[in-house]
Amino acid sequence: MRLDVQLMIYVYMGICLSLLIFNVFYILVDSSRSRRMKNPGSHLKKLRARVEEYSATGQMPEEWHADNRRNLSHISRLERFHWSMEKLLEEMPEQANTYLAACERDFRYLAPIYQGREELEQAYFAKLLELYGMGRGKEYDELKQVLTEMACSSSIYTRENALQTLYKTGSTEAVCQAFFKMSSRDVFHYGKLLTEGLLRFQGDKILLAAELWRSREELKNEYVLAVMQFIRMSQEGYEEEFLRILKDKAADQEIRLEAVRYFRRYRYEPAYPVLLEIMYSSESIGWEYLAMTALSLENYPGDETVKALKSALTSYNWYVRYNAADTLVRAFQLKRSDLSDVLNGKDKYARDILNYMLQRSERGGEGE
Amino acid sequence: MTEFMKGFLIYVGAFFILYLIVYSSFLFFSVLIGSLELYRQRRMSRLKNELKDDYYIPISILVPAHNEEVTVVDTVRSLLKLDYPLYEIVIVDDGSEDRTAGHLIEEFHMMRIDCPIRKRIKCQKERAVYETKIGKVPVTLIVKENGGKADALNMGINASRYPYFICMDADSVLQSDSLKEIVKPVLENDKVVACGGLVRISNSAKIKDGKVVKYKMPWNPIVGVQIMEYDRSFLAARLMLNRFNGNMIISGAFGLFQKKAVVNVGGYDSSTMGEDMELVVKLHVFCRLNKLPYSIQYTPNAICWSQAPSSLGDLMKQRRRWHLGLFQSMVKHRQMFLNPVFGVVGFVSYLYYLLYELLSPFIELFGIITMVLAGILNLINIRFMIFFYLVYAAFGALMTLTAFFARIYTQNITLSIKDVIKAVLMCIAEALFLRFVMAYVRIMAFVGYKKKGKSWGHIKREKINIE
Repeated sequence: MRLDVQLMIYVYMGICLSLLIFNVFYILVDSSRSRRMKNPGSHLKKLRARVEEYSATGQMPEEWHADNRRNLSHISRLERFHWSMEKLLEEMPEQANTYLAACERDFRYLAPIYQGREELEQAYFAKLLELYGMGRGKEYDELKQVLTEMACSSSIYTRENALQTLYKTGSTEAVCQAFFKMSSRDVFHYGKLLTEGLLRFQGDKILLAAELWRSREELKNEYVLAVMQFIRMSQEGYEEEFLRILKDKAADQEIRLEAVRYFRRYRYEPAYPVLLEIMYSSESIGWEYLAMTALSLENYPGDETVKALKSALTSYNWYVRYNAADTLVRAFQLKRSDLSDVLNGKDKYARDILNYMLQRSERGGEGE
Repeated sequence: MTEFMKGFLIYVGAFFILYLIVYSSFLFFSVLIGSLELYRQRRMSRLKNELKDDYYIPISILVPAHNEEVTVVDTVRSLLKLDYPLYEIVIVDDGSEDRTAGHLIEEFHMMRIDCPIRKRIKCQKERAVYETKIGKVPVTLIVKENGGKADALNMGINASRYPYFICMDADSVLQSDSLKEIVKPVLENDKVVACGGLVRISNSAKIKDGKVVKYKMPWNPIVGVQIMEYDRSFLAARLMLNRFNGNMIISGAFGLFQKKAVVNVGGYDSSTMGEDMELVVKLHVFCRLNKLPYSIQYTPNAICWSQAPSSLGDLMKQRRRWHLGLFQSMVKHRQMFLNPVFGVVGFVSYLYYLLYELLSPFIELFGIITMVLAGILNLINIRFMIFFYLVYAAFGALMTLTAFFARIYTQNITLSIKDVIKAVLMCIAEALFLRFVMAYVRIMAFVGYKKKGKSWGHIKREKINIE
């Protein structure tokens, strides 16, 4: 038995030693790779010659295409191409970009090959397509179909890189398709990433918003929310639609709250009475609505708003009180004299929060 | 009698063989899985598997401080240089007797303000609140009555404004990209309620603008062995436990938490000495019992530099506190022990911490007593015993070295040959000596446990080498 333990420890030690040797080997290989990256040498020379020749003749021989298809299907060679191309894009950006445009058909050929690879490589391939601006154009072609599939990957990086490439292509249809697929396959992608991504879209944002909004029934709430946030941050024109949502008590809470946020950014008179109604409603509606509405009302100054906000200062909820005080002091710039009824009132919590906001404002403090 | 002893020793021998097999397997698989994971992450970074820099989640950084006048200003200054778009800093002065608050107020021109604090978690009363805004970063200082580190953190949670918070020590420095890195698991999975970062020892590092500009292995063996120990722990065991959501510790020096989840479990427990572990265990218990989907993650790319004790006395004080904290958390959450409700956490993580962390000093002591007894009765092969011990120590040292080298290539660290030699020596010193010192400290931790109770545990602070 003793010998067995010893044996086991020897085996473990042997594997560990191999791991240690692997680590040391990897350190050496990695540092040599870094050196090569800084100075890609012969490959760079060859690629530079091709870029210059293509720039002079405007002709790319079939042999080069075949070469690209064969070599770039290996991840290490694709990396080497990337390093060399980075150098050339710095050295001769115009010529290098023209050359890359001519290579696009090879990347299109490689797309389905990389689609079948592990996620790390898929993400890398998608990233290069984005960096090289490939796949531009409105049509929903094969390359974009591959990218929409990659957007459903289980790796956040593959999803994000594929989506970024799609945003850069400026194709409304491709982005919509990616959203529909991701939503229908229950792919979780952080809402903020979706919204920020849509804001980077390089095509017609108004058209994209319209298309996504028109087909919102096909999207799950998380995706609808991201679309609404994109709309809020990029354009007006959805007032009527969003007001309908605001009035719909059966709508999802997060979706309704997003409608409240929209009316904070874009003043819309018909929304005012609805917002006031929320502000005066019983707290059973949910403190989130009250707190958000207290901020949205900053876009609707007036005696009635001040009255509603003063009443919100007595809410049981901290955030409602905080936001109401913030709007009164920071947005409406009310002074102590305007708020004396609350400051001399019975509610200690209301007094405290208002005093705090007033002190901050008097000292030129920050707003939210 | 001799027959009885022989029978007894056979059972003891069998127990120890099993004990060692399980331990060395755990260690081995930790290092193996940890190394492979680090290799994968290095590949990911090489192949541009990364998110763009401008995605963010608003974060509150909580800095509990007690008599930290030497380091706290540098710490806050370094926090102000973090490369992150939206965060606030909340420093909680937990009844310091020195000029911790005074230094901060003077240095950052902080103004006193009557700020009402929403006490969702119980904590000691505040004496004063100060605020300022430096650049885009709001900085709040809360001076409160003394209640311990957990209590100070609870105050920080109450006063924080953002949905996620970072807890850290006042003598630690966050690497400039640490916030970007630590939020990544949350971006990947919104069920993440807590995420730990990698804590590295800053004693021999020079940090400029949140980046390490000079790093070497120290000559001080007390610090050196801790560097090796941290590498093995953070880059092996935690990465393995991460695979099955089984991490039971997020270091108090650097961790990200979802505020809502922490408030739901009642915040940090100020009655324990290991509040960091207790909180994580409590999150496991709460989420499992309530059948809430959750994940507790660990990311080695988010790095915090922390001072390690540089004298044996300080190290022993620190380890005593850790061991008592472990004991309190394990006892408090004993329902997890082999309970199917807690899945792998109850069967693997809890059992590991129980047998190989909490009880190990007693088991080792029992082993030594048995060996002495066997020696007296001439029932032991001394030469084999020493040989076996040396083989085992070499195994431990090899594991630590493997984790150490895995860290080098994954984190772009350059070390000289001299540093590598020091690392090898420190590994051997750790396997041969530190282990026994620590076992002694752990056993002695329970002496005076009731009397010393919860305390910040004064450890000598040195100025951090930052620019």
